[in-house]
Amino acid sequence: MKSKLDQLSGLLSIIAIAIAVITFFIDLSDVLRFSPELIGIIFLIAGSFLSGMYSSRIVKRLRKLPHAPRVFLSYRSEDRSIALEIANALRNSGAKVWDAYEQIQPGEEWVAQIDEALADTDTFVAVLSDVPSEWISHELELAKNYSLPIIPVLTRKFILPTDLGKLSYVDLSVDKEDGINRVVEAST
Amino acid sequence: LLCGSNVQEITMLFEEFLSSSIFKYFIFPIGSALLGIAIKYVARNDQYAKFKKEDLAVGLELIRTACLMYVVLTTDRAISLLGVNEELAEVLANPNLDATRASLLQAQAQELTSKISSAGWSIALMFLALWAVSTIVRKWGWKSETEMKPIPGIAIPFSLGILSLIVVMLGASK
Repeated sequence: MKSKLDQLSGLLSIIAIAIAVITFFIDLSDVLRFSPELIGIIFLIAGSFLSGMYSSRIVKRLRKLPHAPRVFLSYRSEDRSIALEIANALRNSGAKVWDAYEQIQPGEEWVAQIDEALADTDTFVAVLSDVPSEWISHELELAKNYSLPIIPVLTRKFILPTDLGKLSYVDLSVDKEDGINRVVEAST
Repeated sequence: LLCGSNVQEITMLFEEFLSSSIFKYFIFPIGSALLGIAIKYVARNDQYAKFKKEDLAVGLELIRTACLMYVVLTTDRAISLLGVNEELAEVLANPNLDATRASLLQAQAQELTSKISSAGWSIALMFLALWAVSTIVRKWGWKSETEMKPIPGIAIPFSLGILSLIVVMLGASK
């Protein structure tokens, strides 16, 4: 019964829109006749329909306009204090930082959120230590799929995994302040 | 330096621009849509995300604005009609009847009455369109929980929103 009512409301809404559009156009043509204004209005309506239809393409173009750099910060919860220092330095230099701890609230679905955030990211910063993390590896894989520039940041000296071995890294165990500055420079 | 005559000239030019067809039927609806998109983008909770196609989905807001504008316009006309009728009553009650003034006021009252008599249907139609578009967006406009479909979710409400604003501007200048 409820689904039938729902179907009926859909059908009625289409009829109502058709009636509204016809009445609006009769009203317009009655007052404006076939003047340049009416032709302009028809083009404007068609243009607004097309801009909605091709909204994905328009948005893709708009995304290329200059904007604040967006940085995705990936780290183990044990490295949160150093990750926070990096995030603060990045934010102070005008970057927008995505930090799962801040963005995802307890009980929220996180896989889609991480994927969505990575789609909008300009640089991926991975804070790594000698303890491997399944989630950092997962996020790194996604970042590679999006062809993002990856900056490995080492909290202590260790040999990078083979898939990151070719990348130049920042070692915070040598000089933390200088290392954070290098991350900021490379990301912004 | 702006002197009195210059200010008057600028005001006249501005008034002329505001009452022109270009402003009423093109700049006003496009400006409202762009302002709606900008506000939606700036006020979004997730400031990390870049511009999304869902930010362009301002059609329902435009139709709602048009509906409320039409209600305000009709109320304004009803108030004007009351004023004209009161004035007409005063003129008719005067022993030295000014026939020219009375016929002028009567013509004004007739014009306002004819506009108000059709306004009810127009308002009903606009609210019906608002309900219909909302139903279409709810039923067919969403691809996922957060992503909209371009045609039923964005294009149809957007073009109808622009059309409703134009119709209201037309009603206001009739």
